[in-house]
Amino acid sequence: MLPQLVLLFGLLAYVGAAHGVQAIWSLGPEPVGTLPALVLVLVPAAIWLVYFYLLDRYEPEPTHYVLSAFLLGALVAAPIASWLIHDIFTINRWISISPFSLEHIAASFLVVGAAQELSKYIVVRYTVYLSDEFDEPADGIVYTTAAGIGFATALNLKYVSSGVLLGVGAINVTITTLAHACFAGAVGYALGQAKFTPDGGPRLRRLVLGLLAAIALNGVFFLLQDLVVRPGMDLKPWRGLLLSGLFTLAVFGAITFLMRRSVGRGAAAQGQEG
Amino acid sequence: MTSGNKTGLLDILRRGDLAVVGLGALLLLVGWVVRSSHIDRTERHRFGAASLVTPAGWVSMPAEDGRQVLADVLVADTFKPRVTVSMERLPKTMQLGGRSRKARELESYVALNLQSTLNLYHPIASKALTLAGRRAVRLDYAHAVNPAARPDDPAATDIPVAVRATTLAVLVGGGRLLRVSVEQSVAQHDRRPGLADRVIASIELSREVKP
Repeated sequence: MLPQLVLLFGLLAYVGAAHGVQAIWSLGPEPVGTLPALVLVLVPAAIWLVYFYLLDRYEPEPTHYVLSAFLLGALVAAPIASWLIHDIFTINRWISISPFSLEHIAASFLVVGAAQELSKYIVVRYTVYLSDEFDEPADGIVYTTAAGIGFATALNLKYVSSGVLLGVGAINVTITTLAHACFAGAVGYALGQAKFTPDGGPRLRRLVLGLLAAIALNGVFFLLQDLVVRPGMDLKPWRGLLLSGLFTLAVFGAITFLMRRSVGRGAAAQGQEG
Repeated sequence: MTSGNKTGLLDILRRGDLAVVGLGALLLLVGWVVRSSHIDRTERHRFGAASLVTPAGWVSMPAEDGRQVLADVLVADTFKPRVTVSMERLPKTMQLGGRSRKARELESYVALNLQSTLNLYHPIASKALTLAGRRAVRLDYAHAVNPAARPDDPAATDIPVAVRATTLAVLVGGGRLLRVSVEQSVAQHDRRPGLADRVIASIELSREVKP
């Protein structure tokens, strides 16, 4: 528990440092250089990656597998989802300005949520899921959260490169990274359970529910977060940040609970085998 | 680690897992149907005596000098595609003279006005025409915009954005000139080259405006 607390404290320090830099140099909403952008997105990514990795305390996964899942999320899932959302669905050409209009809600769940969560699911299901290292239910959450963090890192890099206020940007990057990790974690929980369930109805039901839950969570988050990141408008970013932050924390609590329960059951099963 | 999880093609193709991908694809398909019903929607906006059509979702933006601005704020570019509508009173000298003289003078009046107010004004084409019996002139041109300048910080600077624009100026009687400008960055213009033509073609004047 102590390492996790240290990591969470590190996140607070990171956000505080971003606010400090913004205040000291009186920085406006300007595009940051490549190196500062990388620091801005990789610090929370690394912290969340280590946080979720440490939750699997009884049988940690090989780090190179976890990093591979991270890279698959960043370099495969994120570009595919982005291509689908922006180039195929050309979402900016038809989504309404009001986050609560019917087409905005439909786009949030049926396009953004579905494309992002399906791409995360596919990169884990058809790679690391097939390996012998995926050998206990909790591994589903470990690998999918890593893919989700990689996914969010790619999104965040694009976000900060377009120009942000450092303080708001740091909080938004932290929340987005955690959110995508947790949404993917919902699918990962289902994947972990399904891997050790015989073929048939229950297995299919678990996977379908896992994906639908992730899509639903992602859709709600997109609606809330959209108030924060839309460029060039006089919106209230703090209100959006607060809403998306509270929502993400609730999901985070649920995923942490599921992870601890999976790890506990895995440890108990190993104890019985021993 | 436990063993006995031999995986292969059979595992990949397990029916349940393909059904999950199928479910995701189905949701995207429904999303596509929603998109198809919304993508080419347009909205008509009224500006006093005139009205015009833009793609749906364009919103009114704050503007000065009695101008009215509609912009597509969902475009990620720093310079948002916009339509600016204004009504101005012509100088007395422009209100006199024959019809043929008016056409030429109107063209140079609008061109000179644009040249004096825009950065790096670059004319591309101009054409005299009529709109519902009223004398009008259409000018296509490019200019540069400083995207960093804001009302609270007009001195802020950034790399200029090259903007492609079309202005339609119509004499609407009573010595007044209605001006409609459609502007978008060159990059956006390449993506939507017909936008200005569609907006200009949709302009309608109410009957109260006498030729």
